[in-house]
Amino acid sequence: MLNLFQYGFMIRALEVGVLIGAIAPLIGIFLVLRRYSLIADTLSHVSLAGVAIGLLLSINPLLTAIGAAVVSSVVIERLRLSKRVYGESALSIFLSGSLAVAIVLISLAHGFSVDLFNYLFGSIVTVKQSDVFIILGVGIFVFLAIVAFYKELTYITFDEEAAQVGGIPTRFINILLIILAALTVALAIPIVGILLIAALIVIPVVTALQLKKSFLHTIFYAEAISLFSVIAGILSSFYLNLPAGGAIVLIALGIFILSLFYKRDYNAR
Amino acid sequence: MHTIDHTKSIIELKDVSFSYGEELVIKDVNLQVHKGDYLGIIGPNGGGKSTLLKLMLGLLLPTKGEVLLYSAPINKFRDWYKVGYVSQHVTHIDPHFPMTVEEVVTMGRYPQIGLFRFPMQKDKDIVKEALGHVEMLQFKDRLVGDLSGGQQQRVFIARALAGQPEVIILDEPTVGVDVKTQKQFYTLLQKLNTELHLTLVLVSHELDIVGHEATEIAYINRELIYHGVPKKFLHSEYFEKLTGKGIHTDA
Repeated sequence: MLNLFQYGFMIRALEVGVLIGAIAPLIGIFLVLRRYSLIADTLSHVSLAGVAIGLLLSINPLLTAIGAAVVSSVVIERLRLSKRVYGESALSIFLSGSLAVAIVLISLAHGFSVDLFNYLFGSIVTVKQSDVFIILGVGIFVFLAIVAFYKELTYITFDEEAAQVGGIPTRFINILLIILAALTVALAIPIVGILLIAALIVIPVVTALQLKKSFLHTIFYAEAISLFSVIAGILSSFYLNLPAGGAIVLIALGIFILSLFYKRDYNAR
Repeated sequence: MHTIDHTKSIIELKDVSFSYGEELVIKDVNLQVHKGDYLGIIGPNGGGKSTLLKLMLGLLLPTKGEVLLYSAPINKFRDWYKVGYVSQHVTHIDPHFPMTVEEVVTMGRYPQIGLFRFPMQKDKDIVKEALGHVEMLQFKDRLVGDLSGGQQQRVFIARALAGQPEVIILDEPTVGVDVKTQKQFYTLLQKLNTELHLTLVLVSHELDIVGHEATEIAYINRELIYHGVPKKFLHSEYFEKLTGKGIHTDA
């Protein structure tokens, strides 16, 4: 068996993977329970446009992806609040619009390359040392922000009106959540890939929800499922030469299917 | 023993009007809620009851006039912990939301705990006490989605109590529960008002019940048509007119 820790890229992939695996369900639980999981999909497509801008201007695509995702997330939220457009339609517009931008920019840059394939589906070799610093730095910020505002995020997710009456700054918390989601999506691109990140945000949470536990326990189970999927996915990517994102999502999906067979034993409670 | 200053104004509406776009929903309403009151706001559906309540809570701002909470203009009011709120969609909560009774009630502490802090032992004790008041302590580890409508309602009352408020505002709390549960619920409200000395404001379409439970009645149909003791209201022409037309029933 190959010793994977000989390879710098494997160490980088695991470092980044564990962090992404840790923050994805923390964002996911709030998005899923607010029926807002499609935002992850939309923001990932926006990130692709960001990547394309980066490739075209020869800037680190991770940085341009972060920028594009954050800016769009704020615009989407404003559009939703203005009620000029249905929330869902705002997501649709951004999803297809940014895909169009991405495709045009990519063909202007240098056409469809292997590089692009890595961004679409994730790869353990895409993660550069400079990316590790960006992902760890921003990722830890996202993690701390969720912990710091955990109470407020929980309250607006469960009962936004009561939270508002209680004096929770609901507008700020809403915009914070969507920006944190944008950051998470963009950070996950190198390892999970644009087309699969939404799955990592959503599937572990939906799986944990099948277990019908308390809120805190649901988060713990989602964390465990996400981290297991990410680590197992990266390892199988290494040994079996699979795209990392695909392997991660397939493992998470497998656990989800198993969870559907879980039946709660009422008498044992 | 508490002595209650019944003259202390808690909520005051001065010439309040509110319109949704062109449609005038509330017109020139003057209303005061005093400490210790148990006010039932009643009226036909679409008569502006819930709008009036949202104005009291600052969820809507009046198009004209002024709302005062504890004598402060509502936009300057900061002591929101004094106001507990039990919203209408209590009976429509997401049954799949993964949250235990204890977790739900703990949320009532959140506004007071403040940013960047977490619940401490003191908060846990207050949560337990609140659950005790509504007789739901033995259900604290159950998922709230697994409870009956009446039990959920008690949990939401407990959440409001956990904030240690002085006034609790309830929006149609008995929608969708059976008669027996309803009765128990009103007994609980009586207890909150008389034993815990909480000021209560209750919006309901159940005219006859509220008429016998509340200490004061405000009948609203765009304008404030009656405000005073229920006894007089029940014998008044409005009541006859209403029951005659059956406006207050079901729906």
